[in-house]
Amino acid sequence: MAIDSSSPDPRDLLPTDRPIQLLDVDGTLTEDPRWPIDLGDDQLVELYRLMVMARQIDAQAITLQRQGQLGVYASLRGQEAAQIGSAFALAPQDWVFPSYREMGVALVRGVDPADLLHVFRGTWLGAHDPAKHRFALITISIATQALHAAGFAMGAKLDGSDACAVAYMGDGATSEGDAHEAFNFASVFDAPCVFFVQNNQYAISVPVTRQTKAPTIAHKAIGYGMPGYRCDGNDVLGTYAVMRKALRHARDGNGPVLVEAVTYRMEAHTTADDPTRYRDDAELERWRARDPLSRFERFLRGRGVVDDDVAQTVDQVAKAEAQSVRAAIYDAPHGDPLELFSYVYAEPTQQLRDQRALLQDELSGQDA
Amino acid sequence: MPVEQVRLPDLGEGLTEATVVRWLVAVGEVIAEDQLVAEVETAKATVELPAPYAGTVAELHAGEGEEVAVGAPILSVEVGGHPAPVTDTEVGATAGSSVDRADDQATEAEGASGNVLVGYGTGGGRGRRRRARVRHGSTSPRDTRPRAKPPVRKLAKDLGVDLDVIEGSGPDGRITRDDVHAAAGASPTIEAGAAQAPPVRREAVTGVRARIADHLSIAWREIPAASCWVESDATALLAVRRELASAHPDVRLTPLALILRCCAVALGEVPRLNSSFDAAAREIVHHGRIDLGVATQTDRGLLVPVVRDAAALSVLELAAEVERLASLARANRLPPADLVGSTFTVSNFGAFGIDGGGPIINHPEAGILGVGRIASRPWVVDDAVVPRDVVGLSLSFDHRVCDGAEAAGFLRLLADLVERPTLLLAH
Repeated sequence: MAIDSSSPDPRDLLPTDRPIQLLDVDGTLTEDPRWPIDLGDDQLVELYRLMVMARQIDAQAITLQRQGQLGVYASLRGQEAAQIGSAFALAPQDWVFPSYREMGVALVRGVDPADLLHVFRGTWLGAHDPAKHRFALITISIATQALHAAGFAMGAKLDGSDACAVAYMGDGATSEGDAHEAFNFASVFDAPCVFFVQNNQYAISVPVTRQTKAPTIAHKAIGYGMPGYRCDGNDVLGTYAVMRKALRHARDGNGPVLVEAVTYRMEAHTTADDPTRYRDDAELERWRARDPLSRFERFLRGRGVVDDDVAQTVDQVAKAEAQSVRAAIYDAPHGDPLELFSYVYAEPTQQLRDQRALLQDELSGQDA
Repeated sequence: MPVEQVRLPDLGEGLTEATVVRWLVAVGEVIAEDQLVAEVETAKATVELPAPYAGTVAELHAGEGEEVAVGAPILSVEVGGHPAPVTDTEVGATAGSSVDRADDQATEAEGASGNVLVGYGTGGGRGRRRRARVRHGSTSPRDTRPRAKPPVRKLAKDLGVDLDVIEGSGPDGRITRDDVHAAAGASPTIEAGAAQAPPVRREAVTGVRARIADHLSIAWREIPAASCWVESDATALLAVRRELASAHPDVRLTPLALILRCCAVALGEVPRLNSSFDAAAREIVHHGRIDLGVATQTDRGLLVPVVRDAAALSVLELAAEVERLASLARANRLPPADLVGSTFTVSNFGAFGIDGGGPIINHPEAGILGVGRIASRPWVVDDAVVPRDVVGLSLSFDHRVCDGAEAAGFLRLLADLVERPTLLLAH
């Protein structure tokens, strides 16, 4: 029984029994009028180009970390469809509030991937312009960005703007207090917000089965009175269609939506992780067979919009882009360590001034 | 043509060293940029190392199995034709500072690993980050380590000066460069002595070795252990093994599996040895289940995977489980959960051709059984000397938990079960 007549019908909030999938693992498309796609051939090829680009730059980033050029890196391999399909559905005025694994989303928003990687090199907290790309600085602490998104969406609503906010988060983040607060706040105030959860099966080493007792993550939505959609996150078209619908729901003033994209992280949690300690090859093989990129490529080839020439060109462009990312990051100079103290307070405290002097002495190899 | 030194980067947030598992290239080989050149193992994971430069491999600075400090050269590449991404001076500057850091960190950790395992912990709380070493405004007396700045520590290390014996003349008792130089001048005998001594190699105790060292030190310090041993005629046990093995050819049935079964039964009869001494609470903790740790030698060192509820397993199940755990441990694939929580440990040192010994207890357990080799020996049966297959069984036990009589009772019972395996049918 609902609290009052304005509460939604619970039946409208539950996810479908099976994840929404338009493109099956063999690349066969089954369209569904409830989840329209409306993409032309050029846009399909663009999706493909972005996915190939994400994969190549991702591999380059791992290599850069192994060469000591990045301190750490969190790979998105396997999650290209979830990231690029969802971000492709965004309107220009929408804002993305990412976690630390969203390079695919960043590419869709036109962020230079090298700018993003500076964070992992420790050269800059973020070199891209968040306002220009409507792509906020990446968030390392888990689920904090859900609150940022809810707050932004609330602001957009009060301003009468038609922008939506999207929080990109992982399955583990849904167990955090911040996620709960953001879900609840956004829903109570009908904030135009989509919580896009990439369920990649693991929060570092914790499997999703140990993360929640809810039937699925999308089922959690009903507790907040918002709809939960669940899609095959390795199906770029299904993810796009579901995200498109979620955004329309939010933009039309109906409040937030929780989208769960079921996917799999093919690489380690970060370059500092050893996944063989908690998952086995058989599991990896099962997911390799559901690879988002090869599935989409099969579909595009079948449709005749991608052939060997197109694939080769896309591959070469992506390789060149990866090379330029490498060139931008390789031995990029670090800032002045003394800047540590520059932006903490408008007027530095005596303690900070002392610390700054000590660091300066140490850097010059002299005694105080 | 210029030769570029490739230095080992920190491969995972706070690591201090890595071990070369395998070289994927050889000296003289032409390599491409980003080509994988080596497989290295850190405290976190085994990863492949890509070359930063294209060129010809000029030198491999470490052999397989050798450890390389973060910041130290791991290979040199003769960079031909193509300009290197970095100039020599830049490499020198960057690498030089990271070497300083590594050296300093080694000093700080004093031989222990400074590795930080994000997401896993360090398995002993020994993780250290590079932390601020300057305590501001403190006037507390020297507590854990002498106060000196990193460049001064480096200088002291280079000159062989022990900072612990120097009084600092700087602010807050900080040791200065002059203090170090003065100390170095005042003790020339140390330097002279060092010059004449034959070279020694110092090996950092890290990774699995460090965990073993810490764990055994605690056991040795804390547990007043006594040892006893007995020889047992295992001829009948081996006959049983042969019979079972021919009936179940699919299972690799080892004599150890049968001895583990005997051990589980004996522990059931003498449950006091399946306990732990909780010194803090002054309590003996009696475990409700027999979880047998089985010491297993791996490439990485000694690991002790745990067979859960061993008393509930048949000989065949025990054999299969030990085999499964041991192969996972050797492949470095064992989940950490399978390495903790044993209630009694068995060490099969007989596998190394040893008859007996005084094993160190796997803290905080009450006892450990050492199983010697099974060898044919002259044995007196019915007043005649005949060859029999004899096994040595050694027990170390925590004398706080039980007295000799009880421990001897356990070992004797175990020896009887080995000699007369039909008795196992009663259990």
